Amino acid sequence: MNSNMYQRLSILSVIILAAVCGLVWLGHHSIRIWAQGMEGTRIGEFAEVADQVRQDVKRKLDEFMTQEQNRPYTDYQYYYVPDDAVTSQQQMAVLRSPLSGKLEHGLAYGHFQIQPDSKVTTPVINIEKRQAETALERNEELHAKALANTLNIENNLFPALSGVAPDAPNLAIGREAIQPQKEETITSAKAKLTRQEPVQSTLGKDAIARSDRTQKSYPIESFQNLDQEAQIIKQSRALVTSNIARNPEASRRQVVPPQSQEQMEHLPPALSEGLSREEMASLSPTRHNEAIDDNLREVQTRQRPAIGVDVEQQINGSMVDQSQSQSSAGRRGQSASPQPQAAQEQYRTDLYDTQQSTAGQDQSDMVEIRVDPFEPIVAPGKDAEQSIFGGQVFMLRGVQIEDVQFQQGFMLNEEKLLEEIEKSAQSFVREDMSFELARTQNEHSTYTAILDFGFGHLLLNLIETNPGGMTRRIDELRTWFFSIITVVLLAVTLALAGLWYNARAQIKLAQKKDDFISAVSHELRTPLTSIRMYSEMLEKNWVKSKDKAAEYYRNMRQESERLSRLIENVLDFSRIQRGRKKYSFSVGDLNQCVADVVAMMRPHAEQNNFSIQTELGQIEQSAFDRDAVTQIVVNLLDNAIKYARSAEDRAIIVRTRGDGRFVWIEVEDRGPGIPHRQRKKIFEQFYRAGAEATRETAGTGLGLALVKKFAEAHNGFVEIISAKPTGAIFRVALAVRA
Amino acid sequence: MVEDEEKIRLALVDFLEFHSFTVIEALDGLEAERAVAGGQFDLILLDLMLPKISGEHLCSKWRHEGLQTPIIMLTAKGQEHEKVGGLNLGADDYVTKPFSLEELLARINAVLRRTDPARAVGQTFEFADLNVDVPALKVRREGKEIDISKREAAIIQYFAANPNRVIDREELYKEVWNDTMTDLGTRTVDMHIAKLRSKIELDAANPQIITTVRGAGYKYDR
Repeated sequence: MNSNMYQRLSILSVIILAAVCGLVWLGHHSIRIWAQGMEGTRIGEFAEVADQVRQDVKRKLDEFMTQEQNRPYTDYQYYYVPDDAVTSQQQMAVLRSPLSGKLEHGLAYGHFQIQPDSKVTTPVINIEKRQAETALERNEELHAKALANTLNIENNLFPALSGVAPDAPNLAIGREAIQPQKEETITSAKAKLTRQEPVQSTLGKDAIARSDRTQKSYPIESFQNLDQEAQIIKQSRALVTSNIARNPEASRRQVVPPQSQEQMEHLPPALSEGLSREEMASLSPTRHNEAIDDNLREVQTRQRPAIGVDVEQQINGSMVDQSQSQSSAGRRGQSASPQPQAAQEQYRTDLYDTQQSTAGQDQSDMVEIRVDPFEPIVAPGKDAEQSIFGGQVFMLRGVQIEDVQFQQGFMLNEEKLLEEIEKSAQSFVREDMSFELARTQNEHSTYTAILDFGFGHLLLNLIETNPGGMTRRIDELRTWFFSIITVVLLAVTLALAGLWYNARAQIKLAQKKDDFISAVSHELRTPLTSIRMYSEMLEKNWVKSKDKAAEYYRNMRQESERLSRLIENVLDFSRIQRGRKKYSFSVGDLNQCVADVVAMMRPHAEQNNFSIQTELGQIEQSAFDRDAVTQIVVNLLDNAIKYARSAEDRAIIVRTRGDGRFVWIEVEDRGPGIPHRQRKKIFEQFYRAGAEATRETAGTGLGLALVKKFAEAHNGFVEIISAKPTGAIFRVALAVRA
Repeated sequence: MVEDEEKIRLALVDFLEFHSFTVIEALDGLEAERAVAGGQFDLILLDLMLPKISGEHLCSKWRHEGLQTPIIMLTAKGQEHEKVGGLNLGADDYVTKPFSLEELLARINAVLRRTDPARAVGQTFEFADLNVDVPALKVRREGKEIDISKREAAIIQYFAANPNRVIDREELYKEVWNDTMTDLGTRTVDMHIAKLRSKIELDAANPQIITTVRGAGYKYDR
């Protein structure tokens, strides 16, 4: 049973410890996975930020491009005639372009228009009329910038478009852009880009190769508008015609070809120096173009003078840029129409007609205007190396009005673009994150997003500013976990130790009880056996002599006394165990009681060759339980006879004395004495000195336990002291009570 | 007789001596061990709960050493598993205290009979149509006396104690000669059987009393 219990306990312990070990492993593993997850999540955060930045930049660019795309073609002209001027049947009003006055508009810089004859005009300044401007109106700085922009376009954009040297502008570019196969145009534009930016693309690839774990391309296709259709707008011929007529270069070219020397003065120097107007004209027109020219000529001979006058009147009325308009309109009026009044009348009629005919679906009075989507062109600038795109990015769109082709566009303001991207990045970066916009990857960057604009890219380096933070959090968690596990382990160990201790105690007690039962059984059987044997021998007359018979009778009596003592002890113990032991205290002569017990025990002692001496002292009258005191003395004497058997001097001394507080009963023997470590144990119930199987002495292990209980019942105690030269003195103290 | 309880020991000694046994007393395990090592005994009465060396320990030790002396355990341990344990240690019988002396005497005799063929058949007995007188070393058939040797008497005694059973040469040699079997032993047994047959059989060439079982041994049919 015991080994079974130990086995079960061992299995339980192993299971619990295994469970704890499993828990440790599981926890450790979970933390590792969690840490990996955290790192993954962090990388995910970076990717998310990059994507948010990309989307935000794309949104901004889309907004910007939509705005630019929706910009009426007339905005690119210095003057324009608003739509409602015609429809409301009012006098034609000429307005200054909303792009006038400054070069920067959002991400765009320096809107410009390339005329069919490759002349560059801008809505900011009227290049031709700039000298006529009043000092007040002339903004020298703006003027200079606009001129520089125009020059830049001619010097850098033209060659980029044609792919040839800047000194040989190819006006066929206009044709090229007119081609309906937009894809091709883009492809060719891209091909040019690739040719022009070998350094940049290699650089990008290097960066990608270096760290493809944290680098991902984020395409921003806003500038590419691959799926955008060309806009087709229908407008009344009158409006269109007047608007085209507002464009001094276009009109002049159509009206007075070839150009006079006087007008040549106002051309940008680069252009005027490199080419004569005739040369430009000879380069540009095709048969197709000539058809446009014819058409325009027709329109102009019919309408233009009238518009000129109208504009003049309008301006006189209050409109924008008086002096400039006046001079330009005046000149045009002079050169183009000798009879403005009549022409005006005619124009008004025409407008009216247009109005009428629009309702009647008269095709001849409606003009179809095709505005192509913007396409990016990268042209090398003087700071090509510093530019993120390796050059200046121009956005160009083709505008086709019947057979006339314009190119309109603007330069992408790289600085502004960077500012916008920075703003976006600033708004999206999260805690412990910083960013940097660069052309190359930062060594310290945790995540690099390639913002790919199609024709070039920019690296958004996202940097972990607190790289130890996560490790610290993981370490903290791990410390916590292991602290908890340690506590759990400690608790489990303590619990198991407690369980083991308890189980051992239980098993020991069970063992003791087993031993006790076995001992009681033995102790009962032994005198019974003797009595039975002697009685049988007497009964069957297996007796050799009369002396033997007498001895047998004596032995039987002694054995029955022994049996009584044993039964008395067991019953007392049982009563005490069940709490049913009753004591009857009465004042009496304790010395007399002790003397009686000694007299009773003397034959038993003498049988074992022991002599008992008594030294009974003067003691107080005290109440005591007679039976208990008897049992105390009997058991102490029995104990001495059992354990002092090996002594040479088989003497036992019984003493009594009183000190006022206690009555002392002492039993002293000359035996081997009690070792110190056993002095407490021998008063435990069932305890017997020596191993069970090789019992040196008989007994149940109850005697001394009962002595202790009885002493305590008298508010006293038991102690053992060593006797000299050998032996033990058992001292029982009983509290004096009156 | 090994017993630590004085009163029981005294009673047992008186009882056994009264019934003509010679008794050597031992008070504890150690004394018992010394006594057994120093003398020949027909029977050991062994208490189990003994000072110094326990009865169980002594019993298993003796049996391990090859001691054949019958052992009767006398003990207060009366539970079944204790009895089984005691018998398994090599005891021939197990008597629990308190016991009747008459029963003990019967058990002692039973054990002695089982282990001592002489005790089983007695000193004079019938063997087929013969009367055997062991102390006189004579066999009588119809008033005719035949002298036999001491060894031959022992052989007859053993066959008489184990009738209707095949006894091989090894067993016979071990029990009668008290020796372990060798090649010489086989020849010795065969020689003695042949000589005995020539004395007691009517026709020694065709034995009827002690028959030969081919390949197994000899047999006496009562």
